[in-house]
This record gives sequence, structure tokens and C-alpha cells, in this order.
Amino acid sequence: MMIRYMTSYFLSQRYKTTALVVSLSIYFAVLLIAFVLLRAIPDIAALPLKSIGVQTIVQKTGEIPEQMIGVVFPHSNAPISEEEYQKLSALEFTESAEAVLFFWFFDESYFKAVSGIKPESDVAKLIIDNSPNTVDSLRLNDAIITSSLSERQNLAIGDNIVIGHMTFIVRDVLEKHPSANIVASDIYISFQSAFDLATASPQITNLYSDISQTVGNVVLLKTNPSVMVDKETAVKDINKKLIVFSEQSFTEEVNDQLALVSNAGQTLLGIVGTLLIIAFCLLVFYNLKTRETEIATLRKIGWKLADLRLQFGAESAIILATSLLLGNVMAFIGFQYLKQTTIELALPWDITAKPHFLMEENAIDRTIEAALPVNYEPIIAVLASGAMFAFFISISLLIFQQLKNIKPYDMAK
Amino acid sequence: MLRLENINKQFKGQQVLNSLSFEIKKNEMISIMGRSGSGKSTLLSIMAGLQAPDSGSIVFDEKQLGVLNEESLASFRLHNIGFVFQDFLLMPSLSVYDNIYIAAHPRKDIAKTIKHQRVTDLIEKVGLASKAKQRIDKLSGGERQRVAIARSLVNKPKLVLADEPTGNLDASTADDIMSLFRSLHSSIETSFVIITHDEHIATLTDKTYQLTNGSLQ
Repeated sequence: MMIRYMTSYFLSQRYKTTALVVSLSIYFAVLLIAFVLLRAIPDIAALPLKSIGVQTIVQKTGEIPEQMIGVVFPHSNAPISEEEYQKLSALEFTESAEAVLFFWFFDESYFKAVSGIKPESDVAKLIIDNSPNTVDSLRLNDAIITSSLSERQNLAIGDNIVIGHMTFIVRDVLEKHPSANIVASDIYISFQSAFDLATASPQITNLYSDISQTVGNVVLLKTNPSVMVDKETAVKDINKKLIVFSEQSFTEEVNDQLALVSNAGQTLLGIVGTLLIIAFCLLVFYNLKTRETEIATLRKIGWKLADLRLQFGAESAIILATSLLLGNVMAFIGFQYLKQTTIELALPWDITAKPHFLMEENAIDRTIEAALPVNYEPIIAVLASGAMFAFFISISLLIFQQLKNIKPYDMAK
Repeated sequence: MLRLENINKQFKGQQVLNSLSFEIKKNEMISIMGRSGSGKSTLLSIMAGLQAPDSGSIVFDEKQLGVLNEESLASFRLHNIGFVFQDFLLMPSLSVYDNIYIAAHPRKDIAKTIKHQRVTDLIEKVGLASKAKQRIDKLSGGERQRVAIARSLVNKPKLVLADEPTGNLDASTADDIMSLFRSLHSSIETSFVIITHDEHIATLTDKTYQLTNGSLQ
């Protein structure tokens, strides 16, 4: 390979060469970003639930309460039985499970969403970790409330809150909502207290006679991401009334927001890729056609076909290598930008259970904002570069078979 | 050194070479004349192994060219034949130096330093030392032909085939080029075959043949 011959050719064709290099590099960068985004969709879709340390939430469709008075279960929070809980815990993808008892409480002037949490549960740890006054556990009459409730109902540490037949003392006010609006409670109390309140509620006992057997009405599952099964189907097999929220629930929404990896985006990438391959082939072919005299001259003066293939192959290799290098730089910059980009995911009403008939509660922000969990991954970049290089160089070598058809005696004197 | 025996060649249905036999000896400088379309360039192509004759044999240093495949013929030309063309056929994007070097590039048996030395010496000999780094498209026709001549000699060939080397040059430049041929011929052991339609050019060679009706006279 004669390097100066190659560089002088590039310089003489600088606009064409630059256009090709830039097109290839942009396409590569877009392709790499799309691929990483595509791989990241499950991670992105898992963000809402990940914020409370779980991957899947299971609830159960129940009945609409006759009256919204006192302690009631929202209709998407029917009691889950011990047997169902054990089956959920034994699912192939389940690593651990914990139950929460969630209810609404209506008194004469206010509405409150309340969660009863078990002291050893991860949710309890999350609440306690976010507790500014480091409340170390929830006793029977303890309550931790959100700052939002504190503002709305003018409640402070040490104040009493009456829920049903029980009175709770506010032990702390959470500055930041720890559950990121999932199972968006205003008040966290001990599971035992929540259970006592639920079993004493006529609205609940009228609808669910077996309430005393329940382990909770929201089951939070930590799952093993390497077990690739359809979680919804697996959970529905236990009881068709069970409803599941997992990364699968958000995948479609993520797809919609990431236009690049949507079906339309993928189709567009495919079309652009095909056009680029055609353009590359035409350019290599055109390159040979316009250099026929040059090639014939080289063959006349003793260049073998192998020498020519090496020379022109090296030209293609340099163009591809430069494009891929530039493409990687572009992709790296693209990833830095994407890391700053946030994606908004709207949570379904069912897991932000708030009574939509109360205007104030209906106005709750149900969106979760999260930075895209994407990074420039060197291994993927190297593999993708290698694959693209191999693909285009194979095309070039295939086209270089035409060299033998350029006979040394055909050309001008 | 090069012997053509009973060469026949048809081109577009016409018998261009007709039982042509001919020999070029070592260090000879000959010219071949003929009218346009008489088959001069075809003859030159056959001598160089660029085209195969319909019949007859070509023997170069007692080796038959007819038995060689395309790649072996390329190697044969690389080691034994230098070319000078009417249209120069240089690489416009390359410098004077690189246009000469390109002919030596495929020679794996010659070290780069030797190639460099040869190129530099030839640039000096053809009088272009001050323009070694200039691009070809900045040179005049005569200068370009000098580069082409230097290129034809870089591999120290046994035979240089020049097809109308002065065809695109004015009379004065053509004389300069022929003087260069003569001076190079006297200093190196290479045979020259110059194809021309210009009688004046032909008189500057040792021997002149006329290609008529497919035969040399």
C-alpha cells in the first residue's frame, strides 16, 4: 500500500471523501445511540419502580366502596390472601416480597392516603432513611407524614391525627416523598395499626369478609432481572384479578418518548442504513469507474491485482476507520447530552391511588422524571465498530472483484 | 532479447499483424513507423504482454510469454518493461517524485532506500530536481513526459516501450525529449522501442522499421 498515493487521492477528492466520512460517522453514532437506548429500555421502564427499591408491584382488583366514609380500600386494592402472597413470593423471578396495607381515610373535612408498613420491610427502611429526625421505628401510635400533608392540613411534629378509632402522633415530616408517588401515601403507620383500622372498617368488612386473613393489599416484589419471563402472565396465573405494574407496564410509554427507538424510528434507521449502504456501494463503484485509466495504467506498469486490491482496500479501510472514530466521538458527545436529558413517565392511577373525585387530589403530579440511564459503553462501541467495519469492508472487497475487468490495454495511449 | 515469431492478430475483423517476426537486441534503440491504424500500438501491446496474439510466440530472454497468466505478466512487466505513453498517463494528484516512485512501489525485492535513491537520481537526470515535489498538473507537457520517462526507467527495465512519446508535444519539446532518450540510452543498458509517425523522430533512433500490411519492413 502506497500511503502518499492514498492521501493525495483523498485530498484531491476532499469534498466527496468528507461527505462520505461524515455521513457514515453520523449514521454510526445514531445507530450506536439507538442500540444502547434499545438495550436500556427495560432499565428506563424500571425507573419509576426502582425509585422505591422494587421492580414489580402487585395489587388486586376489588369492589368500589359503597360510601367514601372512614377507612376504605380503593377499588384497585382488594385484600391479598396469604396463599396468593406465598405464590407471589415463590414465582420464578421473585427474589423477595413484602406487603403493604394501603387505604383511604375520609373524615368530615379531609382525605388522607395511609400506608401500613411492616417494620422490617424495605419500604419502612426507605421511610426511616428519609426521616429527617431519624425516627428509628414505627410504634403502634406513631405516624410519619409527608410535607405536603403537613402544609395542607397544618400538621407538625407532635400533633395528633385521628384515623378511625385510633389517634396517632406525628413523629416526623418527610421532606421528600420517598415513594416517588407510587403508592402515594400521606401518612405512614405501622402495619399492625393499619390492619386494626381496616378490620374495624364497616366499608371494608362489608365488601371483604375475609379481611382478617389478608397480608396486605399492595405486594412489592424485588425481582431477578436475568429471569426473562412475562411477569404479567405469571402473576395472572395465580389469580386473574391480580394487577401487575412492572417495567413492562412502562415499556410502551418509554418507546413512545424515545422516538429514535420507536418502531417508526427503527424503520427510519433501516431505510437510512439501506440508502447509506447503496450510496457507499455506488461510491466505491464510481470510484473504480472514474479511476479506470489510472488502474489500467498501474496494471500496465506492473501492479498486480493483489497490489491494487490492497491499495484500494486500504483506502476503504481508512475511510471506514476515520468514520468510525468520528462516529464514536459523536456518539460519546451524544451520550453526554442524553445523560442530561430527562424522561417523564406518567404513573397509572392504580398505583398512585388517589381519589380522582377530589379535585385537590386529582391535581397530584403523577409523573416521574428521571435521567436516561445511558452511557457510552466502550465494549459495545468496539463491537459495533468492528461489525460495521467488517460489513463495509466486505462490500468494498466484493466490488473490487471488478478490478480484474479493467484490462491494461483497454485504456488510452 | 525480445523475439516475436509469426505473430498474427486480428482487430475488429481486420488482420492487423500478419505473420510478423521481429527481434530487438540488447541496448538497441529502434523506431517503428506506420500510418494511423496500421497496428503499431497493438504490436507494442503484444511486445509488453498486455495482449496475446492470435497465433505466434513472444520470447523474452528465452522465456515464452504466452504461457504466463495475467498476474505473472504483470510481474514480468514490473521487472522488465518500462512504458512511455503519448498521453503521459501520470497520476495528476501525485507529485513528480511520487509519480516515479509509484512504478517501483510494488517491487518487494528492492529496499525503500534504494527506490528513493533511484527516483532521486532519475529526477536529476531528467532535469526536474527543482520540481520534485510539484504536482503533475502544474507541469508543462514536456516536463510531464520527462516524468513519464523517469517512471519508465525506475525499475531498470531491459526494454522501454514508448508509444508516440512526442505525439502531444511541440517540435522543440519533442527534440528535447528525444535528446533525453538518446542521452539515457547512452548511459544505461536498456533497449528502446519508439513508436512514432514522425519521420524526424524516427531518424534519431538507430534503426527504423515500417509497419505495413501487418509486417515490419
